[in-house]
Amino acid sequence: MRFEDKLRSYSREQLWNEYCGFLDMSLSEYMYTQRRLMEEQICLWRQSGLGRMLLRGQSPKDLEELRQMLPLTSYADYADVLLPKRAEMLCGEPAVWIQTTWEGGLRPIKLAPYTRSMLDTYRHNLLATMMMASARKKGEFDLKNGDRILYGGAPLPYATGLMPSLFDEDIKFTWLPDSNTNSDLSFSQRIKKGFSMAMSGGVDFFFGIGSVANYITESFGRSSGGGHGGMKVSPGNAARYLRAKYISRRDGRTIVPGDVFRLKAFFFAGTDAKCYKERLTKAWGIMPVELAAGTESTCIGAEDWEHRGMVFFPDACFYEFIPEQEMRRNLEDPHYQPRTCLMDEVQAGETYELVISVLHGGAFMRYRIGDMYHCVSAGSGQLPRLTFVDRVPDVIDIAGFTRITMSSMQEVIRLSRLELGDWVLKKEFNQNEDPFLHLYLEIPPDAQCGEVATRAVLTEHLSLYFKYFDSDYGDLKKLLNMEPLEITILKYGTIAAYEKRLGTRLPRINPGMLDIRGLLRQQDGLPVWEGGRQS
Amino acid sequence: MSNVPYLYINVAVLSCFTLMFVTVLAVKKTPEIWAFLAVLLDAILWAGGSVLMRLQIWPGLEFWYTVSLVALFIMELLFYVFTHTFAHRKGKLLLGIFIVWNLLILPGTVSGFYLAPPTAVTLENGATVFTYDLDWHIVIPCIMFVCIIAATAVLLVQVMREEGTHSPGIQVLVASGLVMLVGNLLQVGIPGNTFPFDMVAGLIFAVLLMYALYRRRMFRLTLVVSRSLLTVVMAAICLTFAANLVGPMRDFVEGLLGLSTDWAIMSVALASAIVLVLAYVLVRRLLDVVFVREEQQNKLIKKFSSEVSQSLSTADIMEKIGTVLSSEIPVEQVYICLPADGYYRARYCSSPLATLSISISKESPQISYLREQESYLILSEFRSTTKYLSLWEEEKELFRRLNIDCVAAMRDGTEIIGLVLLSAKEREHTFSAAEINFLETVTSIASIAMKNAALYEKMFREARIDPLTGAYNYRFFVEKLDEQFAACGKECLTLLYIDVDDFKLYNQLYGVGEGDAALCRIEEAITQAVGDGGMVFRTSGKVFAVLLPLQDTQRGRSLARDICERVGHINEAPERRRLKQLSVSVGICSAPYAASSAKELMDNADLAVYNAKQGGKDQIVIFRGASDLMPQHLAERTDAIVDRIERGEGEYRTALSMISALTAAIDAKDHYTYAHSKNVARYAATLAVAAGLNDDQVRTIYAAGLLHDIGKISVPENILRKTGKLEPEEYQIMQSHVNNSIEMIRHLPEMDYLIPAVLGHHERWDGKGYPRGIAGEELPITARCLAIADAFDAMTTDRPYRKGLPLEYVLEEIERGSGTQFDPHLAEVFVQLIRTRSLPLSQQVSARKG
Repeated sequence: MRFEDKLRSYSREQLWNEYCGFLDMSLSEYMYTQRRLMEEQICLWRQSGLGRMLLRGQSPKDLEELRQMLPLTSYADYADVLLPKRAEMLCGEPAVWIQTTWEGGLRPIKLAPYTRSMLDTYRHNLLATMMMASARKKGEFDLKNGDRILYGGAPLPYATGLMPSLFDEDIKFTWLPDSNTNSDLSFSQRIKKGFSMAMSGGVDFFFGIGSVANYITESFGRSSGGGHGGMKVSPGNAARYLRAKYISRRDGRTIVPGDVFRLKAFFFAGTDAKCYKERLTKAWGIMPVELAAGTESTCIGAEDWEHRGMVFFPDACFYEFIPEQEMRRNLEDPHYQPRTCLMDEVQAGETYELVISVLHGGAFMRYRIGDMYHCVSAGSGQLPRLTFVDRVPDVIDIAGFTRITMSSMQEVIRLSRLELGDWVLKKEFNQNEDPFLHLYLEIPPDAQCGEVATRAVLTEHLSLYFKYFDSDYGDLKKLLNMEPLEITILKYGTIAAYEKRLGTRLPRINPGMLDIRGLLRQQDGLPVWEGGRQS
Repeated sequence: MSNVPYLYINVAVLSCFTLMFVTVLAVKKTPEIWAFLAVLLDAILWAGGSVLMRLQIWPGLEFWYTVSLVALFIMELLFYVFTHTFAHRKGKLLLGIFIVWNLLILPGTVSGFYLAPPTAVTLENGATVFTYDLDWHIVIPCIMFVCIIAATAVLLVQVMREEGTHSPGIQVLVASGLVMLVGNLLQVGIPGNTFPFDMVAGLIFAVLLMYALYRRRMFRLTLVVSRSLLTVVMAAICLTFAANLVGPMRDFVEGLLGLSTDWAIMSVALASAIVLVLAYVLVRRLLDVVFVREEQQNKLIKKFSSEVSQSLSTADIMEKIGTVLSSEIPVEQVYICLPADGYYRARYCSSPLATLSISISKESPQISYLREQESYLILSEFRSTTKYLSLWEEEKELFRRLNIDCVAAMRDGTEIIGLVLLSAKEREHTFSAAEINFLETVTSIASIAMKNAALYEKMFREARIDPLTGAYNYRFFVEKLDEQFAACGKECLTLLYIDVDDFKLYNQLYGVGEGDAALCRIEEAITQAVGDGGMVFRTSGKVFAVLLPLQDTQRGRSLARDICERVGHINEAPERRRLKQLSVSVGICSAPYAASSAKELMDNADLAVYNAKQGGKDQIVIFRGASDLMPQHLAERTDAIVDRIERGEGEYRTALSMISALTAAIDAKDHYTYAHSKNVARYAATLAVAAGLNDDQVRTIYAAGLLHDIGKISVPENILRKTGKLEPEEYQIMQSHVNNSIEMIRHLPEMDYLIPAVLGHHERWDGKGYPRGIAGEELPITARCLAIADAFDAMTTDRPYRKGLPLEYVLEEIERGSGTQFDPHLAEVFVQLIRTRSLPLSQQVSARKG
């Protein structure tokens, strides 16, 4: 039965229990579901070509054996099977292949197969997410046929493009606009069309990754400030506009979307979403609900109306968590196999790297998705609540668009043919809390003499090659009008001297903030602090 | 009474209210039932007050008017209370306000402040009508009514939003409120109206409330009211209406249509008849809807209960469950699953072509739901639980594929002993409460019957099953062999004896545990090879038997080859490579070709397997049955057959050395016994050839003849050579030689197949022999041959206590003993052989004769 039919014939309580009942699960019930579904997945996966390939002839009978036999995996382990779409190697027949960025221009895309059963679970969990977010208290959700969704997602084959098609199987929502049927439009055209549609008939939900949601919100401010071309003139629109105008004038500010629209819920996800949270809340008059979803993982968790952190869905993936310390040890020693804990072992206040095994015939097993989560609350038999922190430290993700690693940075420098010395790259936030890439760079003495090496020229030059090398980086400018690269030139030899003084090698990607300060102090000839001890 | 228009309607409605009240009083009280009783009581006061007011009975119009009016004013409040209780609301504030408000306006109602008592006016036609004088005061209670009605409406809307419009009884509740409202509006809204719209609406209102409770399964109508009572009430209502309608109808036809008196009477009579027929049909339908289905269900349950309680077969009970459920619940298929190896596996389906390869794990969420929450599971309800999330895709797929919509558990205490799976109803109809009740009753009854039947079958099986291998045991083999032999009649029946080779060695090499495991694997291999074509038994430690009804020797041999091959592959599995290869020797005998009784079939197959062992093991030997040799070739043929033993060929290599050693020992002790044994062996073997026994039997008889008196080694020589009559003790010692022979042969490697012949050589056809005293064909034919040969040689040769007897005398003795001491057929053949000189006599007898 479709969800819209259930809305007519089921009681709210029944529907709530069906979709959001997992919120009331005890931790032991939650783990029972996790383990049971994982048991099914192990049975399927170990018999598949991919499973046999990764298990190297071993055959784990249960979860414990699997955790002993199979080391944690990354996309490189699957690439030979998934990139050529070798469906015969998988444990479930793929209904659709979803694409995402892998590692900038070096290894452009990742592909992830979705089985029919995964799609059903994905849809079920998305509906649960909407019910949880629209509720003002337990069971009192506000969801109906024809609800209008302002949607800032990319079309298929990206994961965000799945949402309209999935919901269409269950309930008729009005998408503002439907990214799949309007895939020929550019991003900004789609945003414009979405707003135009919203102004004509209102909007109930807003979905978007944090940076895009922010861009859309700012676009609204700009369009309302500089006229509202393209909007249909009707008594309803006029009344809505006049009301918004009145409120903004009364409060002495420009019009914000919250003056015009009354949202039931506002979802946001993705890297750096947190830094937009406050301004989005101000702009829309409603606090955004955090959502955890990814190409490889599907929708794995969501916040409810209380905004106390996300609860992970028990039936989307099997979750393991690498404690931060273990993860850092692994960063220093790539051969070290970090230990993992399960959902019933996570501790409040700790930060973890997430490891997933996709259930329902998925391809990924013990897969390091590359996301860090912080446990907000756990214990007393309650389901742990988590919140997204960032990507893992050796990957820099700006606004959920691009993935910059050590090797991609080296490649950009190589392509640019600039004679550059040592460098470190760190993701930082400016005073507006916008993320940017901060490159701390040394220029060799020869280059200082022979080339134009001013900061502006270097920034321009490297940005150009970043855009050429990684189209997602280019999209930051094109879609969000962001220029994320900033350069600080260090005195030649500073990094080496700092490392010598410290006695360890400095990570080139995302070193700690103390190290950055240390570098600057080193350059200025000031004493360097090392773990609180002056050297 | 007739002067008051439509009074009979008021009376009828009052009667209905009273009847309903009395009926519902018998129901188990819940808050909803109490609220309904309050509504009914108020309705009785309202209708009763109205009737008595119209009749102006003591204490008078004003009193009854007040009763009726107060009851009417309270009705809205009581309906609100009923809705409040029905919706399980907790808040009491509004309820309290309404109660206080009602109490506050009560003095005004009683005093007639809001609405003064009516005035009775007699019209020209003699009818008495009641006229009311309205003024603005009536607005005061009306405000309260509007508030209560609005609160009730809001409450109903809330309930519908929360529970959905399909929540049981909610639509009926809304309808009842609307009917009551419309009835009262019509009553006051139509000027000059005398028809009691409000009373009729009140009756419909009460009936709908009762139906709403029924939909919530608050009671079963048939438990509180009988069909006959309802029939009488309905008949009374119909007749009252008919009697009261005749007059007005006649007036209408005569006055308005202008028909003559005769035509008017005829028209009224015809119309009344039509109305009565229609009323009858409608009432009948109503009663059928209410009662017939339940009556039918009750009958079915009674019959089902009686049938299953008499059955001790689970298959039969499952068949009956399927039949009874299919007859009452319109589903395509009914599956029944029973527990086995951690699963509930399908054992029955109402559709004979459906697959039974269905299993549901005992650990699955559905089972835990059934164990912890309900005795039945409706899939749509189960989906709303978190347990559904942990369902495997294949488990969901199973339900989707079979279109299963409902699962009921058969329980024994907390344990689930079986599942009943129902496919979805046609056109996606949901299961009604009555159907679920029926299902629960059937499964509950079936649980007990299934438990008993399963216990009985388990005991039955255990009494017939070998606990180690799971094959049938020897006891059941004997039973089944006789049964099948009789059942097959003239058709063929083949028996295979399968003896595991060198099993003792296997046990010694790898231990008893591994030996047991090997036996289990061999049993599995045999069972797989045999399939449904026969039955597998474990008749002793390392011997299996396969009974193949209606299958001939050729089929038996192909099966035996298959079994040998499978057994040979058992230890080829990688984890068992270290173990010795297993092999079996198979003996086959088929009736009627080579056996004429079950016993003979068993003996012959046994002999065949012994021969297979003798023949070097890991081979198949078929017992071939009667030989068609001609008598003139008898001696040569016998020589040819026994020559294999004499020369120690093939399998007799070991046997020869044993026999030689033993016969040498007896020769050294008592030469007579040695010579006697050789004679007996030769006579008996020749007799066996003449009697048509096969070569293997002949060789067995010959070897047994050589060793039949070997036990005499332990008999003292003074007894053996005593010339006089033996004393009883001495005779007893002499008799013990049979058992002594057995004791010695028993320990000889692979010669134990001689035991039956040696053991029986002093037995008699009439059962008076020793040591066991068995008779007739119970005696192995080998023993019967030996007995004649032994007696013949003993009588014809010289003994220490007498000379050898004359040949003719001896033959006559044998003829006299035919049918008492000897097998009559063999005795006849033997005597014939001597008389026709077909049997070469011993040297001593020949010399004496010569």
